[in-house]
Amino acid sequence: MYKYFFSSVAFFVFLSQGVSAYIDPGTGSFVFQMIVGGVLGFFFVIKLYFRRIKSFILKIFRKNKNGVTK
Amino acid sequence: MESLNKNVSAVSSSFRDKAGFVFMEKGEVYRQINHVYKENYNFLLSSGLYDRLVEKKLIIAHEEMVDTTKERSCFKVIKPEKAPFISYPYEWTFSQLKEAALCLLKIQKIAFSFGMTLKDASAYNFQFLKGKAILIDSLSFEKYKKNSPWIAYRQFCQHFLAPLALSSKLDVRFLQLSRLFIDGIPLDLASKSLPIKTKFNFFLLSHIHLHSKMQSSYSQKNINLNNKKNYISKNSFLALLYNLEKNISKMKLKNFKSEWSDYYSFTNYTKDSYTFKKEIINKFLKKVSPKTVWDLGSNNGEFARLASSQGILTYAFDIDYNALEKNYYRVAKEKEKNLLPLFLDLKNPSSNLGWAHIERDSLEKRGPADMIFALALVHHLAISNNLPFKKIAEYFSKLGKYLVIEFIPKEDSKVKKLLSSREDIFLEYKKESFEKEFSNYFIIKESLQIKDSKRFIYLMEIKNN
Repeated sequence: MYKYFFSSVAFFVFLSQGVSAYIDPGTGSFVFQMIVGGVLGFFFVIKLYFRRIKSFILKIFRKNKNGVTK
Repeated sequence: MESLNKNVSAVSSSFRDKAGFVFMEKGEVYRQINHVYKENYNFLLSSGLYDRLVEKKLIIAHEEMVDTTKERSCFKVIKPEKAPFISYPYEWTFSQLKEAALCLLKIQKIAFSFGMTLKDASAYNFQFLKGKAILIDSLSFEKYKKNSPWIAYRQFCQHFLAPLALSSKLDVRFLQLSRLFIDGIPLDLASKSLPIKTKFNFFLLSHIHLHSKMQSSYSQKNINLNNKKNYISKNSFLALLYNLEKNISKMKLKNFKSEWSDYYSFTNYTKDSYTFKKEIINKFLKKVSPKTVWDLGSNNGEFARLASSQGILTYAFDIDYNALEKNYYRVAKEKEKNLLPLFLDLKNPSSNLGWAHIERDSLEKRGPADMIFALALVHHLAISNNLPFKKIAEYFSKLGKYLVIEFIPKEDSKVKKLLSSREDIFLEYKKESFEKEFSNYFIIKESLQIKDSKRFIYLMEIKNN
């Protein structure tokens, strides 16, 4: 019974490792690049907007402080 | 200008790129650009990218030849500035590889802003000229198709990122793996070898570990390069480049001490004998006026600098990475233009490598140098490595025309140390035999005893020069 278990585990491990590439493995790199680029781009844009939002909010606070007092 | 030879034959290593090839004519280096690359080349120039890169000293400058070769495929011939010595990435130390990587990323960012991109990121496209990394392959650029991925990303990770990661996280000697893998270190190998803690580092987790897994899982699938699904936004592309640049800048070797790092603080020289040795070497340099000097066993380049400071192109070879790092750090800091530290294991130097043994040359093939320094070296070869004087002399005669060599007798404490852990079977190891064996290949022009020591220093000239 254990023999079945271990051999099926081994089978799936081998399956997931894949066979060595016949074609130049550039395809995986493209896909991966788009994913990583997407993630990094997302944080990059957030960082950019965060700075803008921050300076926008600070501008408003300064305006209120110096604002017309009635 | 005369038409160039009809039957130009490419330099043996220049055959992979369909855009063109490098050839020699009367000792000068030229690059033929084929029609297939015409559009990209014209854009490289007209967009202003070439000028910007030359101005920033990131790419090798070239002049356009008026004529072409008579080959039908030839669009244009250019004459790039000649590199006086070709070195290979597996001869570079960590900081040199890092500098080349950062240079590439800088070029790619600038190219991107001009609407172009690097189509390949091979470390062999770079050389060190005047102490800095520079791109020598002018045909590496192509017009960037909007929102397409960076085609050279995989190659960048294999040629640069993987060896840098392996050497900084595991051991610097893993840089030698590049000798075995001609197209960079396979990512799955790098991923398996790196310690598990690197999987908790987002940078290495992405570009090495997950990247490698993606490669394996897509290895059987086809992808259409023109597929609209291959989309990467401008921000994502730039973010990727910035991410690589930022993290590679932070990479460094762990502080490691090798037996050679404090070399000059415990050598057998009094201050006087050290100065004397330097004076003699300067005298020899003046006498011979070599154009190139190879310092074998250079350590931190102390004596190599006697040559390089006089404007002589000097290559400081050593087997110890810590010494190379120290030496290169100084080259970079003081912006030295004539000195290049390189890795060399003299008892197992790299041979002619690549396809049909013609792509990468052995040291011997890239020589001979005008002058070789073999200072405080021979006893290591003769005693620690059991090499007879005859064999050492024979190999040195293939490497250089003049030899500045030091003989250290058994009475010296350094040699005693080498003999302390083994039986003294070295009956031949005497000054007389040394001189006799070397005289079979060289003419001894001068020989002097170094003041305050029992060591001798010689100037030799190869026979039948």
